[in-house]
Amino acid sequence: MIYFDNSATSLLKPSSVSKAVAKAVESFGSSGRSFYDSGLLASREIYRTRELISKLVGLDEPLNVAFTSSATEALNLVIGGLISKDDEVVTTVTEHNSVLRPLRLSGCDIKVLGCDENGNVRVEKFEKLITKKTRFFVGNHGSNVTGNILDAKKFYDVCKKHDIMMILDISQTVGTIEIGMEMADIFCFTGHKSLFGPMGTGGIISKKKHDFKIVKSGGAGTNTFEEFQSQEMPDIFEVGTLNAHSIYGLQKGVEFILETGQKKIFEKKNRLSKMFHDGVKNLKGVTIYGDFSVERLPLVSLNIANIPSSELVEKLWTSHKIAARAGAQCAPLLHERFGTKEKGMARFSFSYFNTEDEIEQGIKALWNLS
Amino acid sequence: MEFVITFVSTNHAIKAEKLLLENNQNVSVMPLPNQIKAGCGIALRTKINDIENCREILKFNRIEGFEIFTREEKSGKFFYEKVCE
Repeated sequence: MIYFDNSATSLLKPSSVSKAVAKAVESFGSSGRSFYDSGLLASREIYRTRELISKLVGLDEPLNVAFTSSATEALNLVIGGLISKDDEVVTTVTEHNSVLRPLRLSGCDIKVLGCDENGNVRVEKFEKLITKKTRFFVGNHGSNVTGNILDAKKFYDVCKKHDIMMILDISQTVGTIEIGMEMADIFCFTGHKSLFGPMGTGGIISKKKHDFKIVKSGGAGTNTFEEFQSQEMPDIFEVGTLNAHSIYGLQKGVEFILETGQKKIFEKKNRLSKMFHDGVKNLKGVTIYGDFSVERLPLVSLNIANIPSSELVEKLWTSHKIAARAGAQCAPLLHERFGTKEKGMARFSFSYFNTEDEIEQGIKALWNLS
Repeated sequence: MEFVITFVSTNHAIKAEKLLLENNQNVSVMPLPNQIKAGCGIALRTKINDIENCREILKFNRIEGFEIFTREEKSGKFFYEKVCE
């Protein structure tokens, strides 16, 4: 099999990840509660994972990293914990349903920032949408459809100027693109994509304390007879027993990135993606989505003539054992913008562990089918 | 006599343990004493010679909300008294 669905999850991971999970299953006791060796081992490795994630994103307080089961849960907790029906929120046309649906659920007034024909969301248009009532901007750092990257620093500068809190969805970018604390107030991430962690990992990175409403409650080990959950980071979001086994696996994924170097990883993924793009851009009847003139995520979304994307990826799988993604990629507004609601797009997304030979096979397969 | 340090959460206790061990302080983890706080979490304990250093390191590293107690054993029972916050 050739795996080109790395925007969904990174199937190939450093071997240290699975080894760590197996070791954790055999040796971890209950984290955050126990004083004996196995419990402390779990607690200490969870803290170590917070430290490494902090190092990766330039955060100075590891306890401001809270673990969740996914980026989707992280976004639900942050949006549910901060935004209410009286708020006006600006978001973008590139958002995933994990942003759009929690926003709608909050009852807030949503303003959607559009994009140009290449899928770029412009900061100049953002400022025009802001009113005196705007309190939040929730933005997608990297589109899982076009691969375009939001200029987060510029958006954050505008947010600070207008006293708007910025929440950045870094699901597609963390581990691939450099993340810094100058990009937003709060970041929501997943562990199982470019951070190479197991599924069931993700989290919230908060630069400082915020007045989160408690949206999830349970045991925390301390203050047992208090009526309500602690509002301290990370306890406010970490209710119940953490997925310590997988968090330890995530630690090894992040360690791999730090040891290998994010720049080296990005350059390889970018080279493979560019090679694929160059190889398919002249296919008969091809439409490729996104801006390829600037730095971007390592993915290519396309359609060939009027072939439904589902049929295209089905043929690639049955005839060439190439795994790619069809459909709407959970980003409904962007597909409406590009007029691809009916046929979707075929998305090819690449990993550090893909090879040039696999890219060549992918290109050949598409030429055979077009 | 020894000293017991409690924290606002078990996560803070784990962070504090790491900081203190990295700074060569002689601390160990113990169950959060029921006589001090209700919970099933953890606290740190240390000897009398190390407590001032521990307090300075925790304050320097901005660990919020820690409390220090003395712990004395009398007739097989432990007694705790709050020293400072």
